[in-house]
Amino acid sequence: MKKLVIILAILLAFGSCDEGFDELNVNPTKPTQLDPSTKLTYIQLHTGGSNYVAYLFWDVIHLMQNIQHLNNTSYVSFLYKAGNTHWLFEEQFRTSVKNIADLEAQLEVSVEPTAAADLAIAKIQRVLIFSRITDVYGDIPYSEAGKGSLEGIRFPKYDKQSDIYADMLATLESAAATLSSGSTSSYGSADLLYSGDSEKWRKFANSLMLRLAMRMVNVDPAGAQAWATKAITGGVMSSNDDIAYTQYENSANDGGPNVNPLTKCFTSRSSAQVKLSKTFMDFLKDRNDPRVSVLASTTDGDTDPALQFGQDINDPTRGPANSKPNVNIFGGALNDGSRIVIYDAPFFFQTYAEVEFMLAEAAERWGLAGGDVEGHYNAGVTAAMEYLAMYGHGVNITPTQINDYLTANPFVANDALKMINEQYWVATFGNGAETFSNWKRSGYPVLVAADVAADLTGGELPRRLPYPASEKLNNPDNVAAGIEQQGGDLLTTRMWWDVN
Amino acid sequence: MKKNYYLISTLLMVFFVQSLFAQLKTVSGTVTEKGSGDPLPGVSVIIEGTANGGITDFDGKYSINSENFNDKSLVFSYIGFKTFTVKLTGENQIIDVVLEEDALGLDEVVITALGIKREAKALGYSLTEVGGDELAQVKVASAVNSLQGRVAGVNISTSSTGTAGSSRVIIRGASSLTGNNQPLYVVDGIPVINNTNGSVVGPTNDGTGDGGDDISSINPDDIESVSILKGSSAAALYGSLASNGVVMITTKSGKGQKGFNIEYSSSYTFDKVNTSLQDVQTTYGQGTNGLKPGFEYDISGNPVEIADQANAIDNSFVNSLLSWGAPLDGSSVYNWDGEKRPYSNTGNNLDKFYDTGTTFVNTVALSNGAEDYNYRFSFSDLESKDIFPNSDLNRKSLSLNASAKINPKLTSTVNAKYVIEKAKNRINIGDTPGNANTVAYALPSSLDIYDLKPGSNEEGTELLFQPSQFISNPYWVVNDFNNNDRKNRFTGSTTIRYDITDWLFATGRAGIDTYDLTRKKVTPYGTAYRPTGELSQSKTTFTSFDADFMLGVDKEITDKISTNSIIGANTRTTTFESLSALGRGFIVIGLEDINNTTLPEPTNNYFQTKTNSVYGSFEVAYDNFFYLTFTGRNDWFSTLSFPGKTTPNNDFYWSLSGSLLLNEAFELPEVVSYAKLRTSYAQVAGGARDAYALNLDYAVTGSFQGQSFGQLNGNSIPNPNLIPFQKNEFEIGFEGRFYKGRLNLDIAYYSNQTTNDIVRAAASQSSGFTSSILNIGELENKGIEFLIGGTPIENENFSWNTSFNLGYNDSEIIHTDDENTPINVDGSETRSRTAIISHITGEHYGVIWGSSYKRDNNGNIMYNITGDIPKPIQGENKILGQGVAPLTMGFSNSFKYKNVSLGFLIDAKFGGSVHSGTNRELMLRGLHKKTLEGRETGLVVSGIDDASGQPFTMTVAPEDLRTYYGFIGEQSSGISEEFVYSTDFIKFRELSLSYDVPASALENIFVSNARFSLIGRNLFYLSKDIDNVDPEAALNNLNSQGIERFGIPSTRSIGFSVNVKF
Repeated sequence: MKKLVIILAILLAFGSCDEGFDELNVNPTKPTQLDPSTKLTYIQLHTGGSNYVAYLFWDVIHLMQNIQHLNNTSYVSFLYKAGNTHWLFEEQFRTSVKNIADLEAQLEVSVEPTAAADLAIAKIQRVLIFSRITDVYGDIPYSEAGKGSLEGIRFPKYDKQSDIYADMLATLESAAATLSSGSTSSYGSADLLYSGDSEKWRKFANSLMLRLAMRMVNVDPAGAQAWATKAITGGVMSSNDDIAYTQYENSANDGGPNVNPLTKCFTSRSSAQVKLSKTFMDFLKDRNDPRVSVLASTTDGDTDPALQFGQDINDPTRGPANSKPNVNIFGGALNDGSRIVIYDAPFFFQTYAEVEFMLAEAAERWGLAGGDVEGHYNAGVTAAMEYLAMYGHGVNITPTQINDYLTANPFVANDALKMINEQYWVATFGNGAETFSNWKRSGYPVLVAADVAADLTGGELPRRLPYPASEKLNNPDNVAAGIEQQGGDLLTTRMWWDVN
Repeated sequence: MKKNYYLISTLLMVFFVQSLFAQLKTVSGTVTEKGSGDPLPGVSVIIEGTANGGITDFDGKYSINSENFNDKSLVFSYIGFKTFTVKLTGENQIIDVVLEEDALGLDEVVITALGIKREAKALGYSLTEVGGDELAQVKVASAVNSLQGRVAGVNISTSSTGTAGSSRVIIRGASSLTGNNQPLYVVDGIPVINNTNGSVVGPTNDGTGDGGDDISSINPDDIESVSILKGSSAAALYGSLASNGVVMITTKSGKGQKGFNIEYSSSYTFDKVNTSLQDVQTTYGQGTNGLKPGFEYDISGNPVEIADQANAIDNSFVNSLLSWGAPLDGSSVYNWDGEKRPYSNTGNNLDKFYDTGTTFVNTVALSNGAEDYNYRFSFSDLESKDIFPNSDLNRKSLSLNASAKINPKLTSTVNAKYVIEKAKNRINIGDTPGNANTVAYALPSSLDIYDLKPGSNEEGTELLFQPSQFISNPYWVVNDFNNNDRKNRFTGSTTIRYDITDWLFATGRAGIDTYDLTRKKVTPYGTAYRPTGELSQSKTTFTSFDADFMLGVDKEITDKISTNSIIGANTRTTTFESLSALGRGFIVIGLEDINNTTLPEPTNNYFQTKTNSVYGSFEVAYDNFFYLTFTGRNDWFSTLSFPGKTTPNNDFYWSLSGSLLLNEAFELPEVVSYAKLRTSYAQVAGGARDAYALNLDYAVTGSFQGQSFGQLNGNSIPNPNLIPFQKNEFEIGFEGRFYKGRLNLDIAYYSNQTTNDIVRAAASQSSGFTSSILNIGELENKGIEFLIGGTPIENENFSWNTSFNLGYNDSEIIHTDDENTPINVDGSETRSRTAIISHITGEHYGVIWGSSYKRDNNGNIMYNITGDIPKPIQGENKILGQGVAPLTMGFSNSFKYKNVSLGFLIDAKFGGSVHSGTNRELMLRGLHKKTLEGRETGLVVSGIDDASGQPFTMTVAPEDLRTYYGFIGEQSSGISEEFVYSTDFIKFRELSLSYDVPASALENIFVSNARFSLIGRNLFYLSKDIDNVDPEAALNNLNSQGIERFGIPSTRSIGFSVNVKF
C-alpha cells in the first residue's frame, strides 16, 4: 500500500503539467526585434528586385521591340511567357513591402529622437517600392498590402491606382517636409542610397514626386502640373551626386540580393543570349553616340562602334554562339570586357539626368523650371553621359565627346517632347520598369510591335503585365474586383494614368 | 448455457491429453470433438516445424511414422478448433486428443494502445492485424508499402521518387487540412519518429528532392505483426499524436519459443521500368513546323535543308526537345551535336535510360527462449540499386529484443534497434533542373538518349543538347550530381512491470528514438543552371523521448463483473537540431568540399516541443459478453504555450466504447460461430505541429558591405491565440464468423469530424506572406469498411484462403473561415500555375482547383479567333477532380497444394484524379499521341467565337499545331482541365509462388525448415485510364496529392527468396 501512495504521489507531481512550456516555445535562435537600420538595408537591397525581376523586363521586351534596350536571342522558347509576369508582384510584396510595413510600424511607436527622420525615409522608400509595382500592374493591393502580421490581413484588397497615386504623393510631401525640418536619421551607412543624408532624401522625395506628377500628365494635367510645381519648388536633384542608386557587391556566387540583379540574370544564362536590341543600337549609332562603346562590345571585348550590331527581334536566326561579331554586352568573360554587366554594377532607381529631362518637359509644357527647355535637355544629356562613369572600369565619356554629341545632334524645339523622352529612354538603360512606364506615358520612342505580338495581343504593344496566377488562386475575390474596377487584366489593358 | 461452457474454458489451451505407450517410431491415436465426443475427420496432424504428417480419417484416427521423433512436437489443427500441441517422447506413442471448438476470436488476444494486450472480443472499435510473414513474403524497401491493399480503410500512396522515396499512409481519410495526416507509428510500444526528410514541393521545386521518410527503416524480416488502430477510439490512449490512427509494429522476439534457433532469409528482386505504360507518338520526329531538324521552307514552301551548315545544326540544337517535325523517313538529318543520323525511331528512351534495379535483402536472426528469459537478435542488410542509374540505398539494421522475468513479480523487457542507412543520389523529380526523368520522357523518338552520354563536354562542364540551361542533360545528372546522405538511428525502449498484487500492477516505460542525418548535396561545377556549382552540407539530429508510467487493475469484482483499468501519465519531448552550410561556387574545380566554396553560409536550426499528459482507461466486462470501456486524457502542448497567452494550451478528451457478443447473449443458428457488435465514440485533441508558430520573430539573413541586414522570419503569419484542434469519431461495426471460421465478415461504418483544425492556409502574397496559421477548418470523413474472407476449400492436400476488402471514404470540407475562403495547400500549385490543391467548403478533401475551358451555356468551348489560330479562352477556375481516391480495394488469395503455395494480391483505387504535368509537357512538345491528329491536313477546330457568340469551324494548319497546343498548355493562361486525368486503376500488385521442402528431405541435415519462393510485385495493370504515367504517380507524400510531374516511371519487380531455419 505504501508503494501505491508513492506511485500516486508521482502521478500527482504531473499536476503542473505545463511547467516551463511558455519559455520553451520561444525560439532561442531568433531575435524578437531588429534595429531599424538592419531592416532598411534588407529592404533597399530587395527594392531593385531579384534576377527574376530583371528577367521579367527582359522577357517582356520581346513584345515591345526591345523597349528595355536588350534582346534575348530569338529562340522561340524564350519568348514572352504569361507565366513569368508574377515575379515583380510576388517577390516585392514578400520582401520589400512586408518589411517596410513592419519597419514603419516599429518607427511609428518609437520614442527615439531619430524616429521622425527614420520614418520619413522609410516612407519615401515605400513610395519608391509601390510606384514600381503599380506602374507595371495598375491597380494593386496598397492600403492593406504587407500587413499579414501587423493586422492579420491575408487577402488584401486592390486599390485604385488613382488612390494609390494620391496617397504616394501626399506621403512624399509630408516626408519631405519632415526632412526639411532638420531632423536627422539613425541609419548611417546602413542606408544604401544616401547614408542617412536627410537633405539628399528630401531631394529624392521631390524628384520622385516629379516623376509621379509627370505620369499623370495625360490623365490629370492640372494635378500633374500642381504636383510638378510643388516638387520643383521643394527642390529636386541637382547633380549626379544626388542619384538614388544601390551599388552592389562583386560577388559572383552570391545567391541572395547582394549582386546586381540584371547581371545575375544574364550570368545565369549563356552569354550569347543577351544582346542589345537593333532599335536601341540603331538609335545610338545613328547619332554617333559615345555610349555605344560603353554599353556594347563584341564577345572578345572589342568596343569599336563599327563592330556593334543590334539584334532584330523579328530575325528568326539565332545564330550560333559567338560565330560572328555579336553586339554583346558581355565582353568574353564576365568582368573582363563588359563594363556594364558586372556584379557590382550600380542599380539606378532615379538619376539626375531623368530629373533634368523631366524639368525640360515641365518647362516645355508649363513654363516651369525657369522655362529653359533646351538648357534642361542639354543638362540631361550631359548628366546621362557622365553618370555612366559610376559603373567604374574606366568608363569615362569626356566633356569633348558630350559636346560633340550635342553639337551634332542639337536640340530641336519643335521636337522637344520627342527628343526629351528619347533621351530619357537612353538614360534609363538598365531600369526596365522606368523605361517601360515613360514610354507608355510619353509615347517615345515610337516602337513597332514584334511579330510575335500578333498572337498574343493582336499586334498591339503591351501596356502592363497581367496579375500573377497565384492571385487568382489565393486571392480570387479581391483580384476579380480589382480586374473589374480596372477594366481588364490583359497585356493591353490601360491602367489609370495610361490614357495617351 | 452455451456460453457457460466457454466461460470456464476461455483462456485454456489444453484440455485433455491421454497418452499411452505403443510401438517405437509410430505415433497414432484418435481425435474427437470435445462435448459431443464425436470423432473428427480431416484434422491435420503435423510434426512441428516440418511438413511431415497426415490427417485423421473418417473415424478420427491417424498414424504417423517417422525415424526421428526426438524432441519434436505434434501439432493438431482443424479449422474451427483450437490448435493443440503435444511434445513427443521419441518413443512409439498413442496420443488421443480432444479438440475444443474455437469460436475464433473469442480467445484471440490483440495488442492495443500502450501495448496492452486485450481480448479481441472486448474491443469496441476496429483493429486490423497483419502478420509479419505477409509483409515479408514480397519484400520492398519500405515495409509499410506492403500494407497497400491489405487493410480496408487504409490508403497508401508512394512518391514517384524511386526505392528510397517516401510513403503516404492515410487511415479513414485525412483529418487535417494542411497538417500532418499520417498515422502515429509505434514500434514495440514506443512512438517513433516518422519525419519526411525533404519533399518535392511546389511548382518550381529547387531540387530539394525527396529525402525519404523514417518509417522505411523498419526491417520487414523483423516484423512479427502490424496492428492498425484505425479510429480515434483505439488511439485515445496515445493522445494527440494518434489522431490519424496508429500503426503498431511488434517486432519478433524469442517469446513462445523453445531453445535456440537460427533463421536466415534472403530475397533478391529485379526491377524494370514498365514501358507498357508509355504510349507516345512515334510517327513524327524531332523538329518544328512539320520540318525535319535543320530544315526550312524555301520561297515556294518546300522543305529544304538550311544551306548554312552552322545554322542548320543550330536549328536542330534549338528544337531537340520538340517532336513537331516531319514523318520519320529514315533520311539523314542533323542532330543537336552536328552529327547526321537517320531520321527514324530510335527505340524506347525510357527503357534505355533506366537500369535494371535490384534489391537484395538478407537477414539472419538468432533467438532463444526459456521460461525466465527470451531474446532475439537479428542483423539485416538491404542493398537496393534503383532503376535510376547511379542511385542506390543501403540499409543495415541490428535489432535486439530481450525479456526477462527477474522475479515472479518483476518483468523487464528491452528493445533496441540500430539502423545505418546510406542513400546515394536520391532522385529529384518535379521541375526540370536536375531532373533527369524529364528528358527520358520528352526526347523525340528520332533522338537516341544514349547520344547524350556522358553528359559532359571536353571542358568537363554540362553538355547541353538544347538551348535551355534549365533542362538538365540526364547523364550529367546521373554521372556528375552527387547527393549522399547517411542516417544513423537508434531506437531503444525498456519496460518494467511490477505486479504489486495479483490484481494490481505498475508499469514504467521509457523510450528514445534518435538519429543523426548527414547530408551532402553537390550541384557540380559546370552545371548549366548553376555554372560555378553549389554544395550544401548538413548535420541534423532529431530526438524524441517518450516515457509512461501506469498503474493497472485487472480484477474480478463479482463472478460476473470484472474490470481491466489503468491510470497513467506520459511525457514526450522532441528536439531538432540542424547545422547546415551552403556554399556557392567551387574555388578548386573538382574538390567538392564546403571549405572549397566562396562565401559558405551557415544556418542553424533548432526547435523543441513537449507534450505532457495524464490519462486513464476503465473497462468493465459483464459476464464475458458485454464490455464497456471509458478513456479520458488531458494533453498539455508546449507548441500552444507562450508567455502571456490567455487561450488554453491543453485539452481534455474522452472516449466510450462497447462491444456485445451476440453469440453469447443470444441463441444463434449453428452456422454463426461468432458475432460481435461494437460501437464507440471518441474524441482526440492536438496541438500545433511546429514550435514557435505563435509569435513573430526576425532573422538576420545576410550582410552587405559589412552591414548586417535582417527581416521578418518566415513566410507564415503567426497566430498568438492558437488553441488545440479537436477530432471526434463515431464508429459502429459488426464482426461475424460463420461455418466454423470458413467465412469471416467485418463491416464498419465510421464518421469523424475535425474542428478548429490548425491550418497553414495559403495567403495572398500581397499580404507579405505565403500562408497563415489559423484555427479554422472543419472537415468530416464518413466511410465504410468491408472485409469478407475465409477458407472456401480446405482438405488434406489443398487449401484456398481468400480475402476481399473495400474501403470507401467520403470526405467533406464543412467549413473554412467565416467567409468560407478556400484553403489552398501551401506549395501545391502546379508548374503550369493554373491549378492548385484546395479545400473548398462543401467539397471533398483536396480537390484539384484549376482553370477550365470557357464554355457557352451548351458546353461548347469558346475561342478567340482574331488571329490565324483559334485560341481556347481560359474560363473560370473549377473543381477538376479530387486528388485522393475515395474507394480502395484489395483482393488477396493464397492457395496451397501440398508443399506448394501460390499467393497473389490485386488492389484497386477509384475516384481520384491527377493533374499530369508530364502529359502537359508531352503535349506541348508534340510527343503526346493526341497531337497526331491534324499533322497532315490540319486540325479542324469547331467552337464558339467569343467575340460574336457565333459558331465557327477553323482548320489549324499543321505547322500551327504547336502554337495551338501552346495556347492550351501555356503557363498561367492555359487550361488545366485538359491535363487532369482519372487515376482509377486495378493493379496486379503481388504474386508469390513458394515451395516448402518436405521435412522428409531435411531429416538428416541440420536444416529444420526451408522455403523457396518466386515473387513478383507491381506486375501489371488490369485497368487504368491515364496516359503515359503511372496512375499512382505523386510528387510527394504531403497533402498536395493530385499533382504529378516527371517522376520515376512505374516499375515491375520479379525475384526470388529463400527462408531457412536451423
